[in-house]
Amino acid sequence: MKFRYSLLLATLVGATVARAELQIDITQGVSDPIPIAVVPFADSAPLRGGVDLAAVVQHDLDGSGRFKSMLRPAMTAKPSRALDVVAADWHAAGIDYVLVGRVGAVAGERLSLDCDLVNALTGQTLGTARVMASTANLRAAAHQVSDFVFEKIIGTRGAFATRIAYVAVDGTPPAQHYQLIIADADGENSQVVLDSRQPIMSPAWSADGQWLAYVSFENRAAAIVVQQLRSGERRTVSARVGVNQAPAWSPDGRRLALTLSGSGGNLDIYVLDLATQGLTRITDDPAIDTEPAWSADGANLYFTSDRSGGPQIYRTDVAAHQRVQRVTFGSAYNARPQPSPDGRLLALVSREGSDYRIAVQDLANGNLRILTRGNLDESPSFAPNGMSLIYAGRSGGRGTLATVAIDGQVSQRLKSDRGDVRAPVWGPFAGR
Amino acid sequence: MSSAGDQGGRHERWLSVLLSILVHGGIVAVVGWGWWRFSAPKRLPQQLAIEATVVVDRPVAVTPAPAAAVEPAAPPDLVAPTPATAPARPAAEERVAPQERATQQEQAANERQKLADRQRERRADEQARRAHELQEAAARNAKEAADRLARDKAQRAAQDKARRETELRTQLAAEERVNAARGSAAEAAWLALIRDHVTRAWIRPPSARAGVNCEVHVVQVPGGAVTGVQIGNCNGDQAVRESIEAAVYRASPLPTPSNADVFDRNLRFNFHPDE
Repeated sequence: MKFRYSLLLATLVGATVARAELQIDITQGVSDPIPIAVVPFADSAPLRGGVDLAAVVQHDLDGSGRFKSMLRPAMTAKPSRALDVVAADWHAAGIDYVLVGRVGAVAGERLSLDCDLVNALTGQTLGTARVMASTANLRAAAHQVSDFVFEKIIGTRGAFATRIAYVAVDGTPPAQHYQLIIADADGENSQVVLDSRQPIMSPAWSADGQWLAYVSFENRAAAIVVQQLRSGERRTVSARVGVNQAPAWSPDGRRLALTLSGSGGNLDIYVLDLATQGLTRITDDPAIDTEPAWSADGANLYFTSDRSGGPQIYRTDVAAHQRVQRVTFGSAYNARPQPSPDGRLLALVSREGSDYRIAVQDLANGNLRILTRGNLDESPSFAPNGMSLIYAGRSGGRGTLATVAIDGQVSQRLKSDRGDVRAPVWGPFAGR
Repeated sequence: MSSAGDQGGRHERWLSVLLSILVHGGIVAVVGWGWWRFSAPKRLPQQLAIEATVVVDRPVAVTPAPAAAVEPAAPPDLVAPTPATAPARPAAEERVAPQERATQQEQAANERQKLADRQRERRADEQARRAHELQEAAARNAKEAADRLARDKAQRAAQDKARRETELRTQLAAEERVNAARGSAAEAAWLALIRDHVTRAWIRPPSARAGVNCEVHVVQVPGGAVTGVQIGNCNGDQAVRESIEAAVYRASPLPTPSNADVFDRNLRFNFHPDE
């Protein structure tokens, strides 16, 4: 009896031990946008300059392709503090995160924007942010809040509070009018930094965001000019015989890669030391080598060359530039390389049939992914966080600017009231 | 199922009432006997002391009778001679010849004393006998009570054991059913449903690349509502953890199995993206 009893017990214990936790492997996910509610901010300050800050944040987040924000009429409550957020209600409405905030006057022309980010799934407050802003530039405060939300949820620094540069062209030949413009990353708050009757081309940011280099034809011939944004100070750094084009600032800010033809007319890549004016020839090939772009570590240069027939992208070591490696193969036309900040991807213009589109190539395995659907898309430039690209497309016979997420999920046209726009370049992060 | 349970319950209730009565009866018997057995000897020394003063030449050992309840009444009668004869003596000496009278009186006193002694002896014997009888009866009762108690205990133990065995068997049967469900097609189908469901709910952040491996313990209730998410070993960054927690909550309620035996409250997810 006793033996049977213990046998029974032993069997039971054995059965219990055998019952391990059920295990499920998740190896895939989706890149759906995350549902978020950006509740209109409570406004205790009478002066806001007419800016709906929550709407700016909402637009930023939606434009990233990573978020899908709730429409305001669907909101049944308008809390402005984490304490007042009834997480379950938002969760029931299909919302994962709720951003609430309030604007307060600090002193004179300065305002504070306090925001709380609440996880509606758990009810926990993910973080709070306080941003100070002047009434003159409230949008900047909203972009910083967007960065905060993006980083908290996506885990990558947001690039909303950054700037872009581009060229706008007004009028019809021969009475054309060129402007070099910088603006917030969402296209708002634009400022003209150079106005010219002659073409302006290929703007490029310095790594610290203080300077722009560009090609100007103001003296009837191409010259490469660098301009400090704050002071407006300008310097011509290359006005050699023949072609001077496609400047690209090195990550350390001390050098410019550029394309020169010399008197022979053969385009090759050079590196110009800005302090010493010393010039180093990087390529020496009878084919056209142009559009140089630095790798993030500054060790390599990517460029476009037609040495194999059609334009393809090549890479060379800046220090040991005798060795050149072809990078692209798929399409008959791959040009305008732009390595991503993390060095994993290469953005480029690729021809599909008769259409020129923005694509990214995975540098590890060579896979190419077409991101845009235009027929004359050009000039891709990575956001400093590598999550999106800005590029120029054509719509209704005019150049337009748009951004696209690197997974191709969302493309957003940038607002521009400046006619025909082209050659956009995304600036670096502001220091923090 | 429930009526059987009720019957079982009623049966058990009767059983417990009966057992309770038996146990209480046993306790009362033991306590009663104990009181009777141990309270009497306790008074014994007192009685002996009284007797020693009264019965001068009687050895104390002769009256070990524990039943002394009757004793207190006897002494006043028997002790009377000594105080009663003392005052009579001077008066008698005046009428009868003093010596004769004294002898007669002495003899009478002796007679009376012997009678009283005999009577007392008889009474003590009687008391001892009765005490002995009572003692035996009490012992018998106690033994019976103890036997009953032992019997009850054995019976109860047997019943307990039987019940426990039944419970274990039931549990074991359930376990066996669940174990049978383990690895079954129904279980595989259910887990696949959950996997697809959670996969659709997992919005992968950029940092969720190949090489990331995160273990998540999930507690659900029948119906599939997720009540707890606990990230275990995880080499992902904060965004990865955040995305995984959100995915599980977003996927709640999880799909339920077609066969209820397959259901398990505890699940472990392994998030390891293959890029």
